[in-house]
Amino acid sequence: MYIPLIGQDGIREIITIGIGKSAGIISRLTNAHVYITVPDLYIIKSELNCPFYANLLDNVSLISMEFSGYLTGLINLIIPYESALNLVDLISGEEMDSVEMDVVRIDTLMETGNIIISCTMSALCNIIPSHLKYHLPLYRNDKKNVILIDLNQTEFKVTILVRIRFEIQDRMIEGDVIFLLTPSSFENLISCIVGIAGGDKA
Amino acid sequence: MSYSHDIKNRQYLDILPVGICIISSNLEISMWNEKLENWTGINAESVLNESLSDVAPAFSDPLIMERLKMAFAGGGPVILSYRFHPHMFPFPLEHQNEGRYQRTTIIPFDLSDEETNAMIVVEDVSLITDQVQSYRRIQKLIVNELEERKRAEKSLAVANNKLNTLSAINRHDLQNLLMALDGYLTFSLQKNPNDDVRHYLDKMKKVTDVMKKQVQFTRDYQDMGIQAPEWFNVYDLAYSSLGGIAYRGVDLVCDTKQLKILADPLIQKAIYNLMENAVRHGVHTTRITISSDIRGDELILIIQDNGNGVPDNIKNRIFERGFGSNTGLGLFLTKEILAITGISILENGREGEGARFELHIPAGFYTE
Repeated sequence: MYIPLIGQDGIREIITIGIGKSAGIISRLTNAHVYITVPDLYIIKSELNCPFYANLLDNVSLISMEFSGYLTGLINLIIPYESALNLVDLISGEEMDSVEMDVVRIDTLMETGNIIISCTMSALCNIIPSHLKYHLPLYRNDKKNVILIDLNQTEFKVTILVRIRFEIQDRMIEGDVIFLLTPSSFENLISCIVGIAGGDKA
Repeated sequence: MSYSHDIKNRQYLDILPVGICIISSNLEISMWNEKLENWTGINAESVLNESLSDVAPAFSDPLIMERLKMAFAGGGPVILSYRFHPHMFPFPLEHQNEGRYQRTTIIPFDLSDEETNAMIVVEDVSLITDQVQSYRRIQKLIVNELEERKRAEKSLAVANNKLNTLSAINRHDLQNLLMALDGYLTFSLQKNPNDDVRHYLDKMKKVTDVMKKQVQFTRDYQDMGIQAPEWFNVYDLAYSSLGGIAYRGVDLVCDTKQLKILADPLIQKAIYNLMENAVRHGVHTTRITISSDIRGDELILIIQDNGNGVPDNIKNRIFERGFGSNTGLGLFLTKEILAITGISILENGREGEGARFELHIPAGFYTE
């Protein structure tokens, strides 16, 4: 799969704008300084696996949302389980001894994830010609390898893996935003970026 | 009655157990279901075409407004958690909102040939939130209690350790003194004293021997209750105890090859005491039988011999401290060791037919 440089740069820029916007909203929501950076971005045609993922038996929290239309795919926010607990506690200002993701915490994490996902999708939608249809976001936690197997079994074969880093109250929490797209959706996305940039796809 | 401007079958939305409101892209209300009427006390007809933020002021928050606009611009559903937005559609009276929590989801949708609308779904999650808070409180209490217990156990271990050290020093000193006393008594007896004096010296020597045994006992049992309980195979305990008894000609029949019990590590001494008693006090004991029986939740471990048995008039006293013809501590300490893990013991054999000890082991403290 050939990806023009302008396409790769465009994807990075759009996602960085979306993620940056989400950091602003989370900061205002929580009255805390929240920074989210995008240290790494990979576009992968094959299945998600090493070297991107290690410690496959660790538990992770996953928020995912399916979409269809001009772009068809699945967007996922994956955060290591313990980091997700820390993130929720930092965001909600509640220091809990418990290591359990109860429904109150899940709800808080869902809103945080929803902000990141919505901002990113909104940034993408600014460059495509029509609105997308969305399913409601879903939460689950499971072992990393089980989630990766499930993601690899979807029909969406092009992956945009975005490493994100939250900085909240001097703490650093890392997670991944994973876009899974159908090959044709990915082509559509690249075409839009190239079209806006006024460049030649080749 | 609620009013629906756009939805033909609005009665479906009225029967749902959630509040539902539909807004247009300019944030005007086009539908307000019955549940929202009940919660807010605001009539559906009165809110038609009204601005959402006028009817539900929580939506006038610039942050919520920004997210609403993003949803209409194609960003997808918006989730407003009850942690940060507990009352998007509040009850009319302030006190009615105490302890009440709402979870709000905003779902944009496009109807054919029309502009984008959004459905706002409001769930009352007060009950589950309350349960989680209770659960958290209980969890915190348990954690605190566990920490408290750990601290107490640590303090107890330190205190025990100090007592053991003190006890060991005293025992050592006492043993030295007893050894000296024993030596002087021996020397005195070698000086050919008259019968009266010899009589008393013999008595003193016997008393000294008992004292030595008592000191030995305190050493043997000083670790009782110090170590964490462990699982022991009864069959192994029985056979290793029999090997230590300096009596020959006693058969051991043990039917409990798989049985394991949770007990203080001194259980070995407890079983040894019971078997040693069978041989010592049974006088003509030739067989010791070990078997088990389930009664209700308990397992009964039976240790039986074919010796003289325990006389009826002392049955009730054999586990008392100081009772007995040797040190008077053997069965008392056996009972104490067993009690550490909730095991009780009684003797119910028939005099003349042999002793029969029953160890009552509670559920969870044995496996077969």
